[in-house]
Amino acid sequence: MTANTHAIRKPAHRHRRRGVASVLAMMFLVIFGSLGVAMAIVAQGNLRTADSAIKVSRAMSAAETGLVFAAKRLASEGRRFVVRKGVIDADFAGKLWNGTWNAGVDGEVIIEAAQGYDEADTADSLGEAVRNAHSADENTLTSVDAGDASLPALNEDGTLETRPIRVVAGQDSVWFRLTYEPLVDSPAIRVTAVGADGDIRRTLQMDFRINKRIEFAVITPNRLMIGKNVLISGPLATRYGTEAGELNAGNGNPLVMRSDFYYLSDDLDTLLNDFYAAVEEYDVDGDARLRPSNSTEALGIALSDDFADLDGDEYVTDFDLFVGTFSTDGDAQVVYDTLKAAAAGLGNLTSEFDDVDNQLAWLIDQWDPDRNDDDVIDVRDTRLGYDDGVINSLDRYAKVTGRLAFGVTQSAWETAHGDDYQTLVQGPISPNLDDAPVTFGVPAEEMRVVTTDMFADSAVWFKTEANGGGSLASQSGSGGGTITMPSAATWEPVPFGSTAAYDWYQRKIYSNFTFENVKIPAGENAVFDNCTFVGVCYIETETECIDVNWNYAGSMKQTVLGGGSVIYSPKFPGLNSNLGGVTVADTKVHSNSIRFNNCTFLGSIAGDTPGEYTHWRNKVQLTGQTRFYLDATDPELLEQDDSATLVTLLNGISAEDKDMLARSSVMLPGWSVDVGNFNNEQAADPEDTARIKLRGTIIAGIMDVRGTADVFGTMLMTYRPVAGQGPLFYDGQPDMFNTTIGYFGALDGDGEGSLPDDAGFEGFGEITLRYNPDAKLPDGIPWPVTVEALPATYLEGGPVS
Amino acid sequence: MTPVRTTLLSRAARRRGFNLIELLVALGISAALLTATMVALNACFIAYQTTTEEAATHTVSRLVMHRVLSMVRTGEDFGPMPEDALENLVETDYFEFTDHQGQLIRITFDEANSRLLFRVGAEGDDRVLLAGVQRTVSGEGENTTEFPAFVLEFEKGTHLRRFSMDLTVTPDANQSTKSDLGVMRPIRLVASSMPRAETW
Repeated sequence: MTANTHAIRKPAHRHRRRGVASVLAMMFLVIFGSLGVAMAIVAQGNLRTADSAIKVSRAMSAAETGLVFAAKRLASEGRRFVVRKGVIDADFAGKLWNGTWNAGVDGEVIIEAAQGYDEADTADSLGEAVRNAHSADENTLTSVDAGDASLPALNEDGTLETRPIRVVAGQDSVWFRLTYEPLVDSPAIRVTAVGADGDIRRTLQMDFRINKRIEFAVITPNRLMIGKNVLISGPLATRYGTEAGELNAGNGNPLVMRSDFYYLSDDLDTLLNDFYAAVEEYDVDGDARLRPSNSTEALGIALSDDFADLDGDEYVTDFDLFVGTFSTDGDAQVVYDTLKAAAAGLGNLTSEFDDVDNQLAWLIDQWDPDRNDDDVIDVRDTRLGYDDGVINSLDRYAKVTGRLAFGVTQSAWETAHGDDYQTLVQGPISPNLDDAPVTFGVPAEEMRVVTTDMFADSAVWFKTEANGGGSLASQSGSGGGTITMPSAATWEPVPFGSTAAYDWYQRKIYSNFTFENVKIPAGENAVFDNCTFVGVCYIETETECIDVNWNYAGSMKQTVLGGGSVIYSPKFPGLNSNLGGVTVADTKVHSNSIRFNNCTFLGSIAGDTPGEYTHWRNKVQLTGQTRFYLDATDPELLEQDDSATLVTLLNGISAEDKDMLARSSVMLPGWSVDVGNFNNEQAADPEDTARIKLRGTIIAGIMDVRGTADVFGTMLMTYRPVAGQGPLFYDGQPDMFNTTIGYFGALDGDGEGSLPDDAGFEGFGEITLRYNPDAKLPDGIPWPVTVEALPATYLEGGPVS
Repeated sequence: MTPVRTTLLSRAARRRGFNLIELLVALGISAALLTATMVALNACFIAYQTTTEEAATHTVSRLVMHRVLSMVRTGEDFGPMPEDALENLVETDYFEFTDHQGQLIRITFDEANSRLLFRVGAEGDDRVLLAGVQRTVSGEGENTTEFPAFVLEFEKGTHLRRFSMDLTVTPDANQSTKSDLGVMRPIRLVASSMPRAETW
């Protein structure tokens, strides 16, 4: 029984104990279970938050990658479309995108072959070109959303939708998708980029402008010569030397560029010679600078203790040698105007560059007034080095702030020259970060030659506009100015101020007139002094001037007699030309050589296109303080003493006319255009020196810019000199016909220039040439389309989510 | 019968329960266990609340930070510019800019009231963007370093190249009181961005 009793009791005892334990166990289980679950939920929430943050960041980056991708794609496909229309407005941009242009109305559009991929169906529009490029993409996804497999697709409204594109090859969760949408009221394509990481998506949007832009400050088929005291902002291009037989020792070189720092001191001249010998030997990238951190270029620096980077820009340049020579106190800055320095808060400094070359000092210190690019010139710009009386690193000196582009190859040039091309190219070249300083062998598709025939149609508007105004005789006859008839006192040399004139003109002088849409008849050969031209100033000339003697028949020479008297007589007695079979003894009466002195152009100069380049006969010279304005809100215009009058006159021009006038400030294809003076009339204070202010797109056969001038725009030259043809018929050499900017003396082979030691030499001048990316173009120039981002339109979020 | 009765009585006496000592011991053990459980439970609740509050603060702070960065990316004409154009860095407790709609936006770190304020227009009212915002401080004693709320890095003294913010956010003060914590960990918000109008 005992055993049985125990058998009964034991379960009862265990039951009681199990009850307490169960309650406690359950209680603890519930509590800790709940806590565990709660903590797990919180931890999972935190993980999700962190994961979301990473995914948001990654999706955003994917969308940004998409925008960059779209920018590259639009740029590369846009370059395939070569258009003649000068300005791409919203209408034409839409037509380009949709392929609906009409060649008769919109001008010719050439579509180049696709680059970098095989195009199954040739694109007939920009939209199709972009679509085809996307079709050739490899890293696309087809199943992110329904219908992706059928993309990319160009919809009826012009919208282009693309497949998602992987950001990382083989990783399908991170991608971007692009949508291109042509805008109706703007010449732009709106790109929406959706970036994704898993189910997190981010959307960005930005517009891309379809534009036509010749991205050169100068583009010319003839030689380019950049002299002393010239600073250039913008790329330079010449196709000289690409024609068969064009490049040889007698014809000269595609580019000659002189350092700004010669003629300042004998010691510096010697130092510069040594430096450029080192550049020729050790400069590896063609920028005419030696970089201490480059192992090869450093060898050149090691040649002289004077080769030191004094301005701290990480390069040794001719500017450093200049600073080292003239900074007598060793503070790496050259003081040239103590009053300005004091006014700029630099204290009482001692002048170190007094009357050595005031124009050079002025040029470097005044270069780029808007130093901080805020469209306002104020004390902050002075603090950044503008007009502060000292020349130092803040002036960011470079001879060319941009790149050089050549049609010729380096080997072809150097073979013809018989030496390194860098013996000819001096002055530091500072290109954009992603550009090479010098590019050779640029194909014609990228850098086209501009020719006179391209402007035949666009010149019609200027002539028609001029026809709408009264004739020169009627407008000058209505008063407002004075006319000085030709006399013994009105003889002047051509080029004006040259010590080696090739012709003389006895000129009629129009003074103080205001003309509106006026035509200057052939044979006028006048000087316009202090006149204002509103709208178009159209210069007529004989276009059939193709006879080899046209340039010379009727030329005069000056002979100085004893006692100082002078006589003028035929330079080539008995030399005649002919016009359509009729003998012409003096071609001056059929042509036009006009000089505009201290004139104001509120519009454009245009003219008939001569059939042959005849620079003695068909020439326009801009001298004195001649200036160009078209925008009534131009801050520089508003600073003028007569700004109120000029603004009133500008406001009288219709918006349509302004749009056409803006396409070319000088439309003189085939003409010789001289800007500035050989005698640059340097005043005691360079600020008082007369300065030409030329703006906009400038088209000429050949252009010389001398003395003091500020050119803001693009210079498009049309004349390609060929030995034995046109003005070169009588043993002329192509090296005599070049686009010259700045001072070249006789020692540089310039017969028209004078030397510093010559009597009457008044300075080297100072010239700034600045490329204006916003300059409009006239119709006619076949040039590839540019598609570029409009950063101000960047938006986060967009129509697709 | 007696043996049976005796057996029944002794069995009843055993059923009547623990004696006093046993009861006190049992109660003591239970009380101790329950107390320990409650302490653990309370600690867990506090930890949960703290974590939740920190997570919420993290989320809200990040949203605000991303919004500020987004506005910087799409903004233009930033200020304040350095007084000296040769200087490029501005350390400040406020910054302002023009947004893509042309509105003047000003964001201010109000240190006195621990707030991040947001204002639209030159004459607009300040609105609270985020509360519990404090200046980031590191080190102790003489080695204490106070970080500027905003750092604007300019180019040519005018164009903003990079914007940075460095602030510390403490979770909601009321929540702290309720939880009786006083140990909530602050969150440091450090971020940087470049305005796209300048970088494109």
